[in-house]
Amino acid sequence: MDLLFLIAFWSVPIALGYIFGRMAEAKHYRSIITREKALLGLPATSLKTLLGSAPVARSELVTGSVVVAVDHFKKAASALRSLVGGPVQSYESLLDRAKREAVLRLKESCPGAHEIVNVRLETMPLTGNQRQINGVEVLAYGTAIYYMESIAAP
Amino acid sequence: MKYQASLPEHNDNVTPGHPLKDFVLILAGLSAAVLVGYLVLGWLVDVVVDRMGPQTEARLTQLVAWTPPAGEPAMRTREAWAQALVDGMRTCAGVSAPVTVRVHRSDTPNAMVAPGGVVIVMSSLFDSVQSENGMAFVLAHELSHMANRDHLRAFGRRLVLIAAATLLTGDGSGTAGVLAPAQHLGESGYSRGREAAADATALAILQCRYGHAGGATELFETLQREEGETPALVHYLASHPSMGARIEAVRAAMRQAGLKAGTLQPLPRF
Repeated sequence: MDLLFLIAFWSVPIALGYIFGRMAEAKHYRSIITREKALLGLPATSLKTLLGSAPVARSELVTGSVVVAVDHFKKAASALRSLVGGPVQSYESLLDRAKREAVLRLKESCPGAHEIVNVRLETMPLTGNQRQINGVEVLAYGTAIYYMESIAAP
Repeated sequence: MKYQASLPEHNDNVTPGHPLKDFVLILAGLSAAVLVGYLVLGWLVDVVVDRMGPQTEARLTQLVAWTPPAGEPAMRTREAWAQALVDGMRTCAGVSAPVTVRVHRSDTPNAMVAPGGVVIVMSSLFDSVQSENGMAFVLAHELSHMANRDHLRAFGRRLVLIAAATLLTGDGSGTAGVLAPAQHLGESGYSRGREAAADATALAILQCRYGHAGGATELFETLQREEGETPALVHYLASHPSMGARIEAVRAAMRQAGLKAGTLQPLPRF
């Protein structure tokens, strides 16, 4: 009897995490892909120099951050992976989504900007009790550049 | 060079493949490894316990021994009676160390053995058997556990388990829990085997003490009547064999050894 409880104790959160986590991930990827296409015209680079050559009207520090929860399926998959080693596929997709979403939010935070330079990404885990990772925050920051409107058009 | 905005055609940052496949493969592989490791280490514990000399056994038992608190005054007569019964069977059981019997007030008809030669009898056990022989079988079963050094086996296995879990995870965190079912499956099968062995030894003790093995199934029959039948799966996972199976096994062992049921001694009124 104890074993049945134990199995339920482990499998129910993992199954819930798998079902809802997969649904959320698929939905998130659809949203990321559409928005990335829509925002393709706003370059975000890690360069220290500008892509354009027009006079700069103003510049500002912009940030975009996202927090994604780690579901129990991803946790369990990574716990198993940590015993045998190898790529943690479940966390790869999580961090890929988080980084892309952070850059998208960065771009969305400065409508009207012509480019964003000096973009940096910071990742930090959100830990709870017993050093368990409950989620991950990705922060994207950079300098949004606004050129003089009349000569900015490429 | 002019900057050209474009999106990559493939996402190379995520390993392709279904996430479940990875999960199931690792889980199955590790569970199998845990099961095999547990069986092998458990077998080694058995080998060590079997080969251990009586002095080592006494020293180890002393390490984990437990001193029972004094029994309830109301239970004194039952305690004295059960103590005499146990003392009468000790030679037959091959237990040379002294055994202390304690009667504990409880509604669950059960008996157990604690390290250090302590047999704890739940008071309602006296209502679940009809004769002295029925009670003697239960006590003989507990004496068999002692004679078979089952407490040392359990102790060794627990030690192996804790050591393995700590080694595997480094900090005894929840990761080991994912693999617990595999270990449990290995343990419950083993435990049922030990119980069946204790039942068989208890029969031999009854035969030695009374000259017949009558009354052996009294408690199991009472429990079976009270519990009814439970689903088969639960029994497969339980640490003790099911009542029906135990009665059947005891009867089969009696037939095989040519043991007969004789006149039962009445249970004194308490």
